[in-house]
Amino acid sequence: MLRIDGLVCGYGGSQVLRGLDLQIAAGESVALLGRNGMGKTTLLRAIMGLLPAKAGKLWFDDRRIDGTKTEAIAKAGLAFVPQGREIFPDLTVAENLQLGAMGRRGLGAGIPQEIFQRFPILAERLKQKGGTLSGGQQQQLAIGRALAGQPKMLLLDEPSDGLQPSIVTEVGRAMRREVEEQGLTLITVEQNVALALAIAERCLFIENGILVAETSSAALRADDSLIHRYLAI
Amino acid sequence: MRLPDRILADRRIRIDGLVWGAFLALPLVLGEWEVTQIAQYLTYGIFAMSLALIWGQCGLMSFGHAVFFGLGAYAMSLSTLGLLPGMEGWTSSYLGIALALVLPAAFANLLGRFLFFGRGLQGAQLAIVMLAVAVIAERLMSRWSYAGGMNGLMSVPPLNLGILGAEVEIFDPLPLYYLTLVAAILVYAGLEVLVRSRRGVLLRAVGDDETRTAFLGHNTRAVKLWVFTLSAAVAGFAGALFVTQFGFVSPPLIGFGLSTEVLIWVALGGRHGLLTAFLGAIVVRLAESFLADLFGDGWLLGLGLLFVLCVIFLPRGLLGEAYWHLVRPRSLSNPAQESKQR
Amino acid sequence: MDQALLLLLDATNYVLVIVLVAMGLVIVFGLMRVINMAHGELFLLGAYTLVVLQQAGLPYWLGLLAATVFVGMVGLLMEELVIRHIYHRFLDTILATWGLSIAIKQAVVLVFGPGAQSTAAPITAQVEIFGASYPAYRLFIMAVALLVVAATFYLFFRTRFGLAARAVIANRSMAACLGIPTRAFDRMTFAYGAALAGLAGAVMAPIMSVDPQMGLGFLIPAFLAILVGGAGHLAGPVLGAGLIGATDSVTAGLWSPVMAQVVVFAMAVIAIRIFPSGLLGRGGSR
Repeated sequence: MLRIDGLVCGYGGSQVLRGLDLQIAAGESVALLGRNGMGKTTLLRAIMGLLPAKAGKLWFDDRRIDGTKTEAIAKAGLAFVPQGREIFPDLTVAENLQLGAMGRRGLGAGIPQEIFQRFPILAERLKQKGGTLSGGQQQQLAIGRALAGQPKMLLLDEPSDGLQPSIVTEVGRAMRREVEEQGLTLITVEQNVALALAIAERCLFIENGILVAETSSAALRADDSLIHRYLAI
Repeated sequence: MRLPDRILADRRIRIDGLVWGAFLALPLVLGEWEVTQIAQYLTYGIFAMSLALIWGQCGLMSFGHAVFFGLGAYAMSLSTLGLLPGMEGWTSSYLGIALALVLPAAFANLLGRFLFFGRGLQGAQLAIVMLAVAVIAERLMSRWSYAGGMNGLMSVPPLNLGILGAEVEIFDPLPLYYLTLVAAILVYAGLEVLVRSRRGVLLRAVGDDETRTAFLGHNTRAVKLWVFTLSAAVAGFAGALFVTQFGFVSPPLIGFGLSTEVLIWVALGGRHGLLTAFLGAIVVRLAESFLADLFGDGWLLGLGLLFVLCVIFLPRGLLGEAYWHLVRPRSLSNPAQESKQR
Repeated sequence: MDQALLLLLDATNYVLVIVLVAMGLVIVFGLMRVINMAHGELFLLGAYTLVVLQQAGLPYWLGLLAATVFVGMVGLLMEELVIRHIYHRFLDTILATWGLSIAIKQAVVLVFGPGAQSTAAPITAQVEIFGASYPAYRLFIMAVALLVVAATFYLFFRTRFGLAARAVIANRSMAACLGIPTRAFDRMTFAYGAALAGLAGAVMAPIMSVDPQMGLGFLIPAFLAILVGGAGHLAGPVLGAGLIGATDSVTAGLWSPVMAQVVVFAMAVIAIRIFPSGLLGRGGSR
């Protein structure tokens, strides 16, 4: 579903990604692990077209998406939940979800009811401004907003960032169900290995802008040497 | 001083010297009428330098800078026409120049205290508030019948530099031109020294990021206040010189129209340098005197469009961009590219 | 009694006209962070469009519609050619649009000459209000202004189009990530603001001298209204225009129109100084 060949990308003169290759099949849930500054967020931003690729090719659903505008990439079926969530703080929960729905599916689209089954708290807070929600609720809103567009694939950046452990578990469970029941394809960037293992069946390790190792979640649970090698400080 | 700085400074001094040298030589090749004309544009050039000082160096954009120019012009006119309230009949060019420096400076200082104290006005708010101030000044002057009201004051005499009763009227084209040029060079040199001093660095720091400069322990309000005051004094001086040549002062000189014109000269010339702003005023006025005859109203249409293009694509100004290419050491990249990012 | 009533009606009329002009300005200023100094010239173009079409024999109402649409399209062109290059250079928007205002004004002078044009109002009747007689067309202008305010509130705060437009303004890259076509919304929002200026110009044309200088007279009061009221909210300019218009009308009635301008501008400067983010302040103008 997603294929990346030799992606080079960075800010200004510096290169963060240095020829990264990646392939992800439809329905797969993949975790992207690595230390800070290794290029995880940069990769997600490059896939969304927020950062231009300096070299390399990207395909989504057999269509080239490098050089394509962000909104067109979103329309093609990719959704993004950025680190820090970036909900619209001055808009209500309902408006945030509505934007997610109609952004990808047109002005007429309504909010899919499944969102409220997945995150019941959002149904209770519909009229409240996004900025007044707690961190965990904002994370649920950000994911709900992305899912409201019924994307084929979701990019999730550090969902556990700043959340208390009980909510992290809840978010992980909700994402796993989304993958298993709705067939969502998912890439999760995470520092929290437990959450990554709960969501993903395949783990990729990124270092200095390229993928350096890959393993199944089951194998990683049995042998954590890769974690020591690529995540320990 | 690091090596590139010295090369840069050397080249700048050489180029600036060449430009001023050219102005000194101009009367050799031009007729009397042109010389008189350019002498008048020199006063506009001084005015432009005063705006470049606050705008280009310190980031204070004003849509009402003519208030200070006009105040200087009125002060000079009233002094030389013997109409100063309280000392009627007493005429002196020296007094006029003194008042043209002091009144605008005092007004700017008061206005600056009002506008900059506390969480002061910035950016667009300051620009529009100054625009309103200019409109107010223009309206008040047009109502002040003592100073001629709408019609203004006519037959303002030329500069008289006589001492102790002797009359030395500066009226002939050559003395007039060279006296104004010397005034312009003195203003340029004085401001250039200031801009290159530590105070100049502070000015640019405030213009670049006022909050950060304040965090470093500098009183940014005081910086803005003194530069605003100084700039007003220079503008008033330019207004005084202008009116002794033009012989006529009226409310538009203190108002919105001239304020926007000087903004355009400085933006087209290049607000980051005193010389480029000065040249901007002269070049635009010269172009106007040629092209307005040729194209009539089409000239302003062209100027407006050129201004738009310049703002979008050459934030350094037309001359500023050329100047930078001349002084730039080959190894340095163009800082305009980086400053544009902000 | 009649005098007082007429003064009140005139004051209300002036307030609503400023509101009408300021509405387009505040959309562009408050929402898009662009200070459009050429707004007065868009107003001017609206008035001239109406004049031209009426001279060609077309009915007034068609002229009104055409002026709105035409100036909206001019806005579209302005956005594409100029504004989109300077979205994040706030002060430069003032300069560039000032250049545009000079160019548009001169283009009008070149085509129509510097003199004044005049056009007839479609309604010449007088109506009786509490015993005073008042031109019906002025009441129509007031109605248009109220309608424009209501329509703008509705469009930006009650429709999905407005929701998307606000999202683009609040967080551009996030809006794009949701699939919202950001550039299209920039264009449409700017064009809407321009179209309102065109409408205002056309509505006002029959009761004022249509000449190349007519735009500036409304631009400055409208700007001050926005700054006094606060640019962060669409209600800001309504409040600001109310204060400015009322003060102006009262001072003009008691003293003189010129001094009214002086008093109003001076009060506005003081108000802006004391409430830098406007009376309804939030956000300020940075």
